[in-house]
Amino acid sequence: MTEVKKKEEWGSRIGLILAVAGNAVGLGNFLRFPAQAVQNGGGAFIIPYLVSFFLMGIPLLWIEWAIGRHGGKFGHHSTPGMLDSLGKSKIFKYFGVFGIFTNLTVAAYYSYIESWTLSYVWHSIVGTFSGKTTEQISVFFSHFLDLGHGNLINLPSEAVIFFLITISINLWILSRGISKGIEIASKIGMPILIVFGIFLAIRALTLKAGDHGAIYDSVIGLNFLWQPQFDSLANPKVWLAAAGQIFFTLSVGMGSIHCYSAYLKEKEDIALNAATAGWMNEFVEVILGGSIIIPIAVAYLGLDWIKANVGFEMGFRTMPMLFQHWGPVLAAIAGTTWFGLLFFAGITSSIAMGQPVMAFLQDSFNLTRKKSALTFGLMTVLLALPCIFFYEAGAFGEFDYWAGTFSLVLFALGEAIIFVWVFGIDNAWEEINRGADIKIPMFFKYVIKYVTPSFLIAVFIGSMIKPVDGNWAAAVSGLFTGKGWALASDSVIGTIFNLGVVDTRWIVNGLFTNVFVIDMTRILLLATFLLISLAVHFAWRKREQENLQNERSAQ
Amino acid sequence: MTTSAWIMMLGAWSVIMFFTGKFLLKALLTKKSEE
Repeated sequence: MTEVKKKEEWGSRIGLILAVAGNAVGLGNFLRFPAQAVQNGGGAFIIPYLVSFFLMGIPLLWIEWAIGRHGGKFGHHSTPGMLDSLGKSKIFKYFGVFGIFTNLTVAAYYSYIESWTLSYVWHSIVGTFSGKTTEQISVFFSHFLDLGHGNLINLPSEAVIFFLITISINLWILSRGISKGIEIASKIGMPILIVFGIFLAIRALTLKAGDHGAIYDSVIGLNFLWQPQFDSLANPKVWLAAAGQIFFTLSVGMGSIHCYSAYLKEKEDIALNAATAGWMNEFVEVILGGSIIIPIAVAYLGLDWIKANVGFEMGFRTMPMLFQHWGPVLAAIAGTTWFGLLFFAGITSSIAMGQPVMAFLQDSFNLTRKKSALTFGLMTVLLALPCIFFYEAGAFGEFDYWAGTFSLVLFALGEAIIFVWVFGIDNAWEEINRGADIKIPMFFKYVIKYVTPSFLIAVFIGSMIKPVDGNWAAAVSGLFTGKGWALASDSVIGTIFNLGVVDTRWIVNGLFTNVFVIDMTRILLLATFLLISLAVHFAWRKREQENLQNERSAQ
Repeated sequence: MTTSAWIMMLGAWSVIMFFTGKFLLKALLTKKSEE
């Protein structure tokens, strides 16, 4: 393994921190965290959440930053090469395929959601939502995505236009490179996002009953979110949900953190950078994310409505209507800031998904930055097609489940084991601490060696055999009473075998079914993974031939 | 809001703001390791 000179690097430390924090801060911070907290014990949720952050999140951030910087030393900016440089096994580089596969496939459906936010910014500015009722705005969302007509195919013309605009913006930023593209976008996007978030949070928390049509004080929503239910702490379901949320919010297990870190110099700090980006994400998620959507929605719709409807689409179906209570000018400002905030949260994450794919193409096939950006764009658009046109039939959900959920856990578990147990804990600890601007407490060495992998194994097994209703006690007692394990239909094993699906036929009355779409989507995802593996195989063969030629010419 | 909800919220916010501020300030005030 020869050390090579890096072509690109970060222009400033704050730029790097904002880029990594921007990668972590995404739509989930504002839409997923409040829902998870509400569904898992309110205020008590924060205890397993913060414990998971300390024992799994922060250590995983250090692991990924260290793997990235170590790989960068050998000229690798994507995970196949990085994992290959950690040990002698030829398998590692193929395991690293996850770090390209996940970014590519998640970028496909994530950019689509990102484009909705851009479209909703536009509609907020031009006053589309003005004077509309809750139902009309919900119907607008359905029309926007061409949902609810019962056909297998969705043809959302406006959403497609905004999707192409969003992809173009992403590619433009990516084609400008690390310091002139990603870093500048993060330096602009992250402060705007935080200012927008603070504005909306202050507005939400000062909303009182009778004020602008509010029926309840918004603090009732806060109380609902933060009221501790300590009995939930003994429930494994809550711990798995908290660990899962930490996982997704930090964007670990994707390969994008590794890529950003690979552009660091060998002795530049990673310990402080990782901790800063991680805590900044927590600030945005818990303090800002927890103070906007729930308090505002509770003020106008009440607790019962929230309990029944809290979820991802609430941000699009409900929030524009609630802003209408604030008068036309403030409604336009609030709508623009809310969807603008989501857009900036989305784009700083989606560009982080593009860079590892581009870096692989540049490192392995000598593509220029612009050509690699165009190739990434083309692949993203092609993979997004099923998510757009078969959204309602389940293609979008399959991408989210297999690429955006399962692959992350599997990859994080594998990379942690390779880094800690194959590369070796002493080498790993030395790698994490080299050039560190903070002294990491020694007990984290043992956390990284034992606790973090154990956490990941628990999350992995938990997702594989999740019981019905997350009731682990009932499932375990079922084993001893001869009833067997009551597997949930959304567990990994349950999903693979279409548990709970009564009719698994592909064609009924001459028409393709949702099951057909779902199975085809799974085949597409598997084929994508195999194609990337093939590309890695050829890249390594090419590299070996080049090394051989260099040796011959040197003789 | 109930007292326990206030305690949970302000406790979590304090921990998060303390560490975010501490690390961010240190990162901004420390020169790059290689410089």
